[in-house]
Amino acid sequence: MKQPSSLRRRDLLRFGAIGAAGAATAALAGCGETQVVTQEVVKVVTQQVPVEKVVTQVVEKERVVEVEKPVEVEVERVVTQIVEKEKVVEKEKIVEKIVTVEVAPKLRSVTLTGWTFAHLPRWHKANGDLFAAQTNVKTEWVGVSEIWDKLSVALQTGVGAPDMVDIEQGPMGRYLKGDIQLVDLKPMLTREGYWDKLVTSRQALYTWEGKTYGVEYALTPVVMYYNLSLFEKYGIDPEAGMATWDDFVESGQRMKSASGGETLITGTGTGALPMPMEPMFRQRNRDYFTADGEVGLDDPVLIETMQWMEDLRAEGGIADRAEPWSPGMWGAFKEEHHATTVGADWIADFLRDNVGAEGEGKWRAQPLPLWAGDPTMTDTSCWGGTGIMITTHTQFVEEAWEYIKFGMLTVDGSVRRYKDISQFPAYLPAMESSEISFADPYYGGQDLTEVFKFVARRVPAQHQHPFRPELRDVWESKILPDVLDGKIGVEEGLTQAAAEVRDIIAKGG
Amino acid sequence: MNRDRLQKRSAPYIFTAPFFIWFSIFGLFPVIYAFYLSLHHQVGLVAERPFVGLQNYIDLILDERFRHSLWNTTYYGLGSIFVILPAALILALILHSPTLRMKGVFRIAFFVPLLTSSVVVAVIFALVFDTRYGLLNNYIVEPLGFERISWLQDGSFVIPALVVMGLWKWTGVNSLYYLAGLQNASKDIEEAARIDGAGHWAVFRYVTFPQIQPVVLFTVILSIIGSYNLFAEPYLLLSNSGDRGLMSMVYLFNNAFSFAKFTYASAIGYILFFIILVLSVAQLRIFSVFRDD
Repeated sequence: MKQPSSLRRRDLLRFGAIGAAGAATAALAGCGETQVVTQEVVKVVTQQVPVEKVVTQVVEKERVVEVEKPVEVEVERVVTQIVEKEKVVEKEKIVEKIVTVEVAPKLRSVTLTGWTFAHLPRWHKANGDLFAAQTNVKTEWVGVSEIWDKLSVALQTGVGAPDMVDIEQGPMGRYLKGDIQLVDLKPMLTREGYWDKLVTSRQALYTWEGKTYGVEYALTPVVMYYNLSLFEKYGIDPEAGMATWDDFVESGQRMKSASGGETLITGTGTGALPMPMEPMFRQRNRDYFTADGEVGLDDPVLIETMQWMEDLRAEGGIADRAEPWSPGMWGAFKEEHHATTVGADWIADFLRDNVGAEGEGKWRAQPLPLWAGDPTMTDTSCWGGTGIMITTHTQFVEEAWEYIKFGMLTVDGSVRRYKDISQFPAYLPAMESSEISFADPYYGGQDLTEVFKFVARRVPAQHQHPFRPELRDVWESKILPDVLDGKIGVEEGLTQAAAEVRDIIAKGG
Repeated sequence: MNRDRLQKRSAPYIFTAPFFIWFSIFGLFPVIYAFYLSLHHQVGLVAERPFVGLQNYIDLILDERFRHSLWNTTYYGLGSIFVILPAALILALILHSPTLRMKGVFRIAFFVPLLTSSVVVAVIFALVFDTRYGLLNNYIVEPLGFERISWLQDGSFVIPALVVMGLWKWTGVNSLYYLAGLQNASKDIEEAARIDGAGHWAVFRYVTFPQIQPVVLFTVILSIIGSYNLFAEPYLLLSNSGDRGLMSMVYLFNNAFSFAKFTYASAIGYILFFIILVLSVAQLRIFSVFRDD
């Protein structure tokens, strides 16, 4: 894949990190009390960052703790301003080492509680242990069954709510109704310079009326996963054969014809469609809600996309539908009945776990096919997401915020998270780490990280809304079944759903 | 009143007090509070809650989806009464047969589904009902010459699929109820009927069944209550079925927890309560439980 050759934003971020570290190290050395553990880093940094190119400013006196050997000194925090056109040697290596030298404010000796779900308790345990080793703050995370319901009760009653919580994008809307019981993190994210280091489109998931209540775990870049052996078997070049969605349809027709219908190009989506609806809409920069909070269901482009998906199955016959996440879905991949699936980063592990040995070495990933002639589209989308948040019921906002920064807003934390739970980070500096790149044997030695990185900056926004759960319910549960059964048309269904949701919103629920 | 007398009089109240205190806090109060909520309107976990009187109940009567969920629930309830319970009775008659060996093993085997977690049941039946790879389509539907059925997607089959799952889960335990009834039925009367020339069906219809009628009443009422309270199985199994499988309790849950409309959900709860009450009283009247003689 072609990468732009000019100076990129992530390079600037790298320089920034190096500059900050260099200045910080110089300040530490000036105090004469700090034992710098990574001597090599200091040497390299001071060589590479000319003093005149670093603008320093005294902000406050703080306590510094080093990872490898904690020391407590009074230092001046250094803020750097990046100057373009710097030359950096061995930048990767330096950035990674420097990130471990984090500056933490004075934190109270407390134990924070957190509620989470699925596989995240494991990550929080490891992250919490590392955080506790560097601070006097302990964390107790528990995986709560029926977490959204218990959280609703806890927030409603004001009894037993945790200090922090992981909330998945799906149920997020319900927590945005009435008096929101979550802390607005946007002032902290912007004040401390993190906002610009995140793929901000992802933050839309937790943003409502200008306030941002969570930090996203993962970028969830959506790409096209495909069974290379099937493409080779039917003589189709996957890159050319899936360059545009028109090419995709043509490849599907060839595949169906050559296999006698035994192999279809796809067939696994959400809501019993052959493809996942929402990511397909978002690839064209359309969503259930617009950025302005308006219902977007009856947008002409969204209707067109929906009709196109339904036609794949109903008219084209090149795709069918399996119940999402069912044994049938994985069985279709195992039996090579379906050749592709549109999926986010997390699908990579799903395929590995559920298709297993039958798919070993056969699968690959590439950016999504393009919509020819659509200037609003991109080559990727987003699907899913979970944000870490602080409840207003906590007395330890500062400590909780430091915990979030430690795990989510550092290269080290982001890399650990990707390695541990395969969630590709939405934190831009982490994408440059060489540690997240590796050849994956399950994907025939392909480095999926390169695909995710390639599309990362074009991942579109998914707009959150308090009535998003209602919209999904009306559209996906009430009206979509009638559309799929052919009782009503796609346009009529989407228009009807949009009208009903507008009515619900107008009534206030 | 002397001290001994006071102690004697208060003793029953003191000994039963723990139950009533417990019941009042965790049983009675939520019931009363839910009614209070049902007369208010609140959207959001922490939000204003103005009094709206019976507006929630009026909205519910006009709510097309609620009516649809009631129909689905009633459909399942009819399946329970006319499919699951007769199957349980037949099973009980087989288990009651003097010629059957290893009865104990069968009884335990039929009880096991009840002990299985609803989550596990839903996962198992997702496999059973899968369109392409499912047990039903591959071993029953297709061999009989029919086309594969999308059990969990086709509106005509979603509730029947739920009844099939209920058949697996509830037949065993209901058969044990019937078995207990059959074992308590008077053998003398049955024997007398046979001596008088009654056949198997006549003995069952006119002698045995009337004797186990209270058990039948009990199971029918339990089935009605169970049907209108059914939640976990449809919630887990029918999550991709849309409104084709929308059950009343799932609709209540969605309103309370997905949409943060606890007041509206409380009204749904009360309507379901009254439906169950009316149906149960009707059953009791049909079986003449209230008759003085």
